[in-house]
Formats: sequence, structure tokens, C-alpha cells
Amino acid sequence: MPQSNQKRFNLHLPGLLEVLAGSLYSTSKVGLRELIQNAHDSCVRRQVEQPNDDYQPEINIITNYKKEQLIISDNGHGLSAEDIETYLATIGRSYTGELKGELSLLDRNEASDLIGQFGFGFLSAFLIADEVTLITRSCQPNAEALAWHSMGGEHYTLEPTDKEESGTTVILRVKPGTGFIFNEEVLIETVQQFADFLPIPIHINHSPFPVNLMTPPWADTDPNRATQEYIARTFDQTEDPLCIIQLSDQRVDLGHDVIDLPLKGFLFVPGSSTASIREYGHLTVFIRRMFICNNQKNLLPQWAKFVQGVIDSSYLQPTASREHIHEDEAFFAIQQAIEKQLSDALRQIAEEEPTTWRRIVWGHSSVIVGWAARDPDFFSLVADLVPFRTSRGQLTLPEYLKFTQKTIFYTSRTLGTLQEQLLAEGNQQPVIDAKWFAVEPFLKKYAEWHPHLKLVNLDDDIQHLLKPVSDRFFTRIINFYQQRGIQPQLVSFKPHSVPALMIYPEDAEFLTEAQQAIDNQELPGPFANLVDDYLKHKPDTSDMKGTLYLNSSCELLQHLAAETIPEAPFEATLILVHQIARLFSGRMLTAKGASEAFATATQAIKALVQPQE
Amino acid sequence: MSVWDWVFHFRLTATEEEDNITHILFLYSQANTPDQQLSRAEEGYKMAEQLGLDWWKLLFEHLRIQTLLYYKGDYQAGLEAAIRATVEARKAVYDQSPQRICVHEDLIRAHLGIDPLGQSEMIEQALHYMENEIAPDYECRFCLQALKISMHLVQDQFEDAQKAAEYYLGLTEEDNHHHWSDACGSLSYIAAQRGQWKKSLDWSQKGEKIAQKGDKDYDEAEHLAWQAVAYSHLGQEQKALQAYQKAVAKAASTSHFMPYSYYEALSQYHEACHEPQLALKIWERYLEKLKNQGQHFKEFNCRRECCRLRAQLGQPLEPLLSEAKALAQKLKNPERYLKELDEAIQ
Repeated sequence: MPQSNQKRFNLHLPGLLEVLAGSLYSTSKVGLRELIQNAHDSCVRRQVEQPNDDYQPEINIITNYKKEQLIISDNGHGLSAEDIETYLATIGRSYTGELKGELSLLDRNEASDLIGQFGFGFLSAFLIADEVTLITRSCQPNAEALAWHSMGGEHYTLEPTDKEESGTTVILRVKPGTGFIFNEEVLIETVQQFADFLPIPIHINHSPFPVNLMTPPWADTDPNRATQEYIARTFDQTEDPLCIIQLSDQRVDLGHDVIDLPLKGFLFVPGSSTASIREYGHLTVFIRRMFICNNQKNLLPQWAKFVQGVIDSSYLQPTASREHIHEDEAFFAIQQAIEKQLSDALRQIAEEEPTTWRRIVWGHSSVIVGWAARDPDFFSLVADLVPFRTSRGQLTLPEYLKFTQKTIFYTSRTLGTLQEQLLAEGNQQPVIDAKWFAVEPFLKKYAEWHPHLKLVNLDDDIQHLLKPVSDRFFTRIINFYQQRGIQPQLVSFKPHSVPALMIYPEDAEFLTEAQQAIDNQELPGPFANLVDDYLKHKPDTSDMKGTLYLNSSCELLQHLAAETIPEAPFEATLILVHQIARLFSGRMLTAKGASEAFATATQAIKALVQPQE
Repeated sequence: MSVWDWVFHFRLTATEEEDNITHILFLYSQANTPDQQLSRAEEGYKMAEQLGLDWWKLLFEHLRIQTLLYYKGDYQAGLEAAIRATVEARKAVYDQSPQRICVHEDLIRAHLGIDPLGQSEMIEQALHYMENEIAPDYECRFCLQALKISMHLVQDQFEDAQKAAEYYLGLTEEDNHHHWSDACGSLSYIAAQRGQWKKSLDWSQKGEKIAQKGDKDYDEAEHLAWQAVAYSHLGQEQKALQAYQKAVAKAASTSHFMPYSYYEALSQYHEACHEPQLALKIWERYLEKLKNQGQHFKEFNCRRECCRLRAQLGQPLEPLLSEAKALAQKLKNPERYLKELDEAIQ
């Protein structure tokens, strides 16, 4: 392209600042983070370029509500005029980024201590300020102190000033709407969130002690104690964690090379959880000790919804705003490393600390049931320990099978499963409540792993608990019901105290609804025809009214069948038996239908208690 | 609004709890086996039920139906699920749900696999209704077109099927791998039915290339199978064999339930190579997969072909013949099927 055609891009700084403030960063608090980060990097730069054992890096944050000022100062390297022109006032160019590159080439460890990289972090100061003054003195010999000033427009001023010590002081005139700066508690919390692990003490408003820990718990001389204290301080937990797992660098064999993936941090299992409402499975992420994000869900394996933690890895790549991490190869490598260390640790706990393991599984049973089936190794660790709701309270599957030997009975219907439970318990067999969506897949997986076991869903397989018998001696009762359009069937079942059960086909509610939809013309014409055709091919729809299974083993029915009972009490008793069975089934009843059933039952009771005329 | 537009917007405002449900959707797409797909669809449905998210219920139900029809080949269960979904979708809460159209298509698709000729009038009415229901820019218009082609083909209406397939091709674009490949497949099949082998070969080769780009192994397998048939009729035996072998290898690598036309192609290839015994084996293998799946129409056709080849080979027809006759009774107007059977074994 001919040189005469080449143009320069025009940069509209206020517009760029608006983009940063409005779109790149999610919160103005990030401005504070960036300034702290710059202060930290300045101190590290001084340590790198002018090593000195006597040097004590320090960051101070001072707020002045009356003057609407926030002042952040460090005793780091400071900036020369050239630094300011080249890096501070050149958007996108970062001294820290370039220094990191140089240090990396020289294979120097200090590269990993530097945080900044993108070259526009300083601009984020304008997230919290509408005027920024920077007073700085480089620690290079004969450096002059300089004052840089900007109101966020396209121009800035730079002039000599007085400053004795090396370092930088950033004075911000705080914008309206960023009042959190002047709430010391919030300010401390914010600094702790972002910079708790930075190894440079940060003092707020002349606090005698730094507000940040400076040392992450895993780097403490007693990591487990430090981690426990950190968890209590940082996470909203009312109970002590059930276990803590310290993470470490992961050796990875790439075939042509072996590398150590940098990975520090810890995982922990909180006291308890509840599926969906209080699940975990997320991590707080740091990179080079600087907070990036919390609630990072994809680094932990899917089944680990009972685990939480904190990690720090320089291998992860932050996004431009440094509030998230890229889900790239590095991310997946770290993800795999975490899964391996977590799985190994849990296996060890399961083998060597069975009591702890049981507490973990019981305390987090709902999330474990929900997610365990996804991973065979994890499933094998928990399958025999997870408790399930049964008609006899919470039982693990081995405990359950002691009652039933080789069969697992369960119901998964949301409506009226009490009579299935009653029948099964009548045969001394508890029933597992599989209403919650994750239970049935778990049971199926368990049955797959134990092929000798039989899985019986009582929703559609209740018949084998009802033994057919001859109705020869119950003719009067059978006729009574048939004459009233009720479909009776004589069987024998336990418990014998129950005279009758009303059982409907599994899909009775749906078929009734579908028929109503057709009758009320709620479906588009052609689809109504297709649905209607389907319904016509279903077995006898009179089944939808249900079948009244009469218990031949019940003394009451035997008495009614054997004795010559007068008509009135005979009828009243049978009406009552029917209505009780209907109400007990909990199915195919609207509010109106239930009310009518009660009314009929009440009439029957009245007929029984009134003196015979 | 397409389904995916809606899912995207849902994520923007989802609570943490609700976001779990989009994760199950992702897990469904990552499932390795049809059973895993089913389990995730069912899980998603129950979670949606508990969270009171009606549109999500319908979406997972649609995915469950798709798994049953396309991956498990279980048309009985698929039909039942499609009926339930259609009844559910009538409710006012679904008026704007994009899923409502999908479940209507599912119902038509299920019927096409069970008794398309017996239900032809109702199916055609439903297809006509769908034409008016689907907006011109809505993705479901492709599926509708595919259904119309299938309906023409079962009725041997090749001219209408050709027009519909050309229209389908015109609707879609090459980078819409699935539908473009599908349209090519239809055109290849139609040409094969008409004995236009060069054309059939051309279309199947085009379809194969697009299916490769879209990583659609099952589509690719079908295209290759029809290439084998075309090559064998064009006297290019070596290429026919290569295409056949590739088709079988591709089909083995997918968990998709391979369709009737795939087995039809493999069998036709063997017949073209004068290998009726192998052709019979192909149909018998397919029959094992079709048993008790509720695909009455396809199962009958498969049984009919088995009977035809057995008769040709002088092999016993029972119990296959009786079973075919019994199956014909499950279809409307069984006489036409019984007549076909008689003609096939003579």
C-alpha cells in the first residue's frame, strides 16, 4: 500500500473509557483492584531491578471523605518521565507485560510474580474517579519526581514536583456512585477479596496491621490450620468442613516431555448441602495470588457438587478484564489435574477414614445421588453408602436389601404412591421413594452393577403383590359394586386389615386429560385426530375409572360375604369401603370429586349409626 | 424466535439454580449413548418440572422423543411420548414456545414410522396445518419439508417427492450440513427408485461430502450405501465394493439407529451383485433391530423382503410368513399388505 494512503487510527479516549467502564469490567471495584495490582507490581519491579535486603515493600490506602479522595501509595519502583510517556500514556502497552516477557526469556522466577499484562489496567482508575493525579519518583539514581494529572479526557499534564521517597502515590477524586470507597468495612472486604494473598502488606487508613493475609493458607507453615481459619473467615459456613484437600503442582507426561502444571490451593467439603438449593461445585480462582473470580463452575468435575475451594495457577489465562478465565487448553489441563487430585483424595478418605467418608456421603446425599451416576469411579465409592427415603425412613441400599434380599421396590410417580407402599410393607418389604428425578437413574445404575438384583417400579407393576382368588363366596359383594358401575376384582393381599384398594392404570390421568382435550376441542384439528386415533387403540378406556381390588383376606369382607347382613348396613358398609379406597388412592380425584367422596362416605356412616327402623 | 435464541436469552437471566438446567442440556448433547441421552433428557424434564419451567419441560420432552425415534428406533415409546407432548403443548403457556412446533413434527414423524399409509389422510392434514403454522424463516420448515418427502415416498409418489426434495434443497444452504445432506439423500434415493443411477450417484456423493463436513457419520453411511448400489448398476464393481465397505464401517461408528433406507441400499447392492443370500442376511439383521420397536410399517416391509428372498432361495418361509401376516393385521387395511406379501413370495 503506498505510504501516502496510510493513516493513523484516531483514539477517542473518553469513548474508550466508557467502553471499559460500561462493557469490559463488571464492577467499579475492579478499578481498585487494578490500582493495587499496579502498586504490587511496582514493588516487585523494584525488588527485581534493585535487589536490596533492607527493602520493605508496602502499600497504603487512605480515604478522605471530605475531600472525596482515595489515595493509594506504594514505595515501589516509581515511574520516570519516559515510563509515563511510554507505558502510562500509551494505551495497550504494559511495562509489566514487557518486563514479564524479558524475565521469562531469562528464565527468571520473578516473571511469575508480576500480575499485569494488558496495558490498560491503569485506565480502570477512571471507573472510580473522574480526576486522577499520580505523583511518582523513580528509584533510579537522579530521578526527578513527577506529577501526572488527567481528568479522563484526551490530554494530561506532566510536570516536576516534590517527592522524597521512591514510589508512586495515586490520588483519585472519587466519582459519585462509588461510595463504597468510604465505607471502611466494605473497602477492607474488597481489598481482602482481591488482594488477600499478595505478599505485600496493605494498610488502610493507617491501620497498624495489614488488612490482607499476605500468605495464602497453603503457603502457611501449618497449611491445614491456616486453611481451616481461612474457610471460617471467608466462606459462609456454619459448620466445620468435613475434609480439606490441599492441591499441589501436577506432573503431566506429555509423551515428548514432562511438565509440572502449577497448581496451588485447596478443596473442601462443607458440612452439608441440598440439591439445587445449596449446591457447591465451584471454585474461587486466583492467578499469581490476585483474585480473578469466584463461582467458577467448570473446573471441578460435574459430580463434585459437594466440593468447594480456592485455587491459584499461573497456567490459567485471564480474560482482558481479568474477571474470568479463558476455557482453553490450559484450563482443561488444570481441570483434569484437579479431578485427579480430588478423586485420589476422596478414595483415600473412603479407604482410610470410613467415618468421615460416611459423613460426607450422608451430608451431601442429594447432590451425590444427583450426579454420581455420571462417573463410574465415583459411583463405586458412594453407591453403597448413599441413603434413600423409604417407607421405613432413610436406608442405604445394602440396608434395604437385607429386608428384600434381591429386589428393589420403588415408586417414582408424584401422585398417590401410598397404597403401593402399603402393599409392599404388608409383605414386609420397604419401598424406596424415587420421586426425585435423580433417584431412579441411580437405582438403575446400581442394578446394572449388581445383575442379580431385580428392580421393580411399583407404579406399573403392582399386580404381583395382589394374589387373584375365586370370587365364588363374594358374589353378593361383587354384584353390589357391578350394579353401581364400579369394577371390582377379588384378590388377596396384605395387610389383611385393608378391605379394598382403588387402583388406576399408570397413565390414567394422562389418558383422561387427552380425552378431555379432544372433547373440549383444545387441540388443533389434525392433531386432535391423531391423538384420538391413538386413544382408540388403547386398551379398554373404562379402566380409567379404576378397579376396586377387594381383599378376600380381610375379616370385614369375609363377614359381609358370609353373614346375612340386612340391606341397609350392608350397602352403607360397602359404599364406605369404596369411598375410603378412592380417597386413599389419591388419584383421579379433583377437589370437587374428593368433596363428593367425603359426602358419600359421611352419608354411609350416618346410615350405619342411625338406629334400624 | 428459534429454540436456541430462547435458550440463549434464558441463560442471560437465569439464576444459579436455573442455570443447572442449561447444563443438563449441554450434557445431553455430549452423551455418548442413546441411553445416556435418554437419562439426561428425563433428568432435565424432572428438574424443569420441579423448577416450574414449562418451556424447558417441553424442550426435554422433545429431545427425549428425538432420542427414542432416531437413536433407539423405539417408535412405540416415541409415539406415546409425542402424544403426551402434543397434549401438553396445547396449554396457553406454550403459545409462544418454539418447541410447540417441534413436538407437532415429532408426532407426525412417529406416525410415519408406524402406519403412514393407514394414517395418510390425517398425516397429510397435519402436514398442511404445519405449513401455515411455521414462519418462513423458522428452522422447523426444513424438518417439515423432510416429512413431506417421506410421505410422498411411502406412497410411491416419486414425482411429488422429487419436487419436494428440490424445494428442500433450495430452502437450505450448503453450510447447513444436516439439512443439505438430508436433501441430497432424498434426491439420491428418488433417483435410485427410478433407476437413474448416475443421478443417484451424483447426489449421494454431494451428500457424502457435506455429511463429512458436518461430522454426520450416519448420514455419510447412508450416502455411501447408495453409492454402492449406483456403482454396482453402473458396472463399477470395485468402487461399489469400496463404497459398501466404507458405509458399513461408518454405520458401525455411530450410535444412531440406522434407517430403513440404509439397509435397503445394502441389500440392493447384494442383489445387484447376484448375492441374494447376503441380501437376505442384511434384512434379517435389520429385522432383529426392528422387533418390538413399534415400527410396524417398516418391520412389515422388512419381513416382506425376507420372505421374498427366502422364497427366491427356496428356504422355508415359516415362521416369518405368519409373523408378517400377524403384523399386517396391526396396520390399517391389512388386505393390501397381505396382497403384497403374496406377490412377494410367488
